[in-house]
Amino acid sequence: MQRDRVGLGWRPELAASIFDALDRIDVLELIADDHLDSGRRERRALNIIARRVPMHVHSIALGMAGAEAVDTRRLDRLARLVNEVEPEAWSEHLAFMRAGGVEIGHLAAPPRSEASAEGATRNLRKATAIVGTMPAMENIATLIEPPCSSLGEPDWIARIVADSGCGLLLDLHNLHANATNFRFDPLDFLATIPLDRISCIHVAGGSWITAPDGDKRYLLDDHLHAVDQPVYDLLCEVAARAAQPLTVVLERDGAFPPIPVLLDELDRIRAALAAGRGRQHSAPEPAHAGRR
Amino acid sequence: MQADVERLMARLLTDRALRERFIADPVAVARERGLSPQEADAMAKMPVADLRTAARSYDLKRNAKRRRGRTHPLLAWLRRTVM
Repeated sequence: MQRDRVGLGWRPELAASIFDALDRIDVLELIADDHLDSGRRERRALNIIARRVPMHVHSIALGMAGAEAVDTRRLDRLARLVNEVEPEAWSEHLAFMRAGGVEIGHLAAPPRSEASAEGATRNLRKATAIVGTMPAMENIATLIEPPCSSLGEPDWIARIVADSGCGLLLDLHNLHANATNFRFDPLDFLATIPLDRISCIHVAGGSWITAPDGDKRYLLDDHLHAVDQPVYDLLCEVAARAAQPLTVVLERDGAFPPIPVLLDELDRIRAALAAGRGRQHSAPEPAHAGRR
Repeated sequence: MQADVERLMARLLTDRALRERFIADPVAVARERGLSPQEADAMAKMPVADLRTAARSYDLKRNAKRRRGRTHPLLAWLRRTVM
C-alpha cells in the first residue's frame, strides 16, 4: 500500500543540499519553465535524478484556464521536457497568463463561470493529447476576486475536475491566503472540492503587504518565508478527510534558509499528515445504508 | 465574454495609464474595451486597492523574473560540472 510522501521543490540554489539529504526527501518537484531551454546533457541529468527520486514537473506559464486556447508550441516544448525527464506526473495552474497579446507575467485568476470551466477543460484535453498524460491542476492565490464570475472558486474547481477528469493539486497556502484576503472559511472550501481527486498538495509561506495607497493589508503568497501554522492545520484537516495517499511538496523560491531548516519543515509536514491520519483512524465507523 | 474581460484585466495589470483611467471611470473604459453593460458594472465593483496591489505585485514578479533570467552562478557551475 502506498504511503504519504513529503518532498521539496528542486531549485538550483538547493541542489547540493538536496543531494546530501535525499534520505529525508521522498519526492522532488521541478519547475518546467526553468528547463524548457535546457540542453540534452542537463535533461539527461534531470532524468537520472528522476530515476533516483520520484519527480514531478510543475508548469507555470501555459495559461490553461484562459479564454485563449493553450499555445501548441508551448505544449510541444513541455512535452519534450516531460518525455526526456520522465517524471512521475506533471501539473499546471487554473489561471491565465496572457490575453490579447499582453503578457501579465504571472498567474491571474480568470472569471469563474461555466464558460471558463468549459474552456479550461478544452485546454486540458489539448494538453493531455500533446504531452501524453493529464496534468493535475492547481488552485491559485489571487489579490483580486475575479470580476464577472458566476461560480465560487470551489464550485468552479469541482466543475473542471468533474468535466476533465484531471487530478487536483491543492495549494494550501494559496487557499489560506485567499481565505484570509477575502474572508471566507477554508474549511467550507475543503467541503466543496472533490478531496478524493487530490493527487498532490503544495505548502509554502507568505508575508503581509499593504496596499500602495491605503492601509488595507493582504497576505501574499511569496514562497519566501516559513510555512504558517494555519497551513499545517489545513494539511492536518485534508489528511483527516482524504482517504488516498497524499504527496506534499514544500515550495521555497528564495531567501533560502540552511537545508536543516527546510528539512525541519518537512518533518512538521509529516507530523501534520500523521495527526490528520490519526483522526481518520480514531473516527467512528460510518453507518452503512444496508446495515440493520 | 470571458476573452474581453481577460484582455481588459491583462491591460489593467500591466498598463499604468489605462489603470488610472479605469479607476477614474471604470464603466466607460470597460465599455470602450468591448465589455457588455453587465460586465462593465461588474468590473466597476472591483476594489481599487485590490487592483493597485495586484498590479504592483505583478510588476515585482515581472522584474524578479527578468533578474532570474540571468543565469544563477550556481546553476552555471552545475551545468559546467554535473550536467
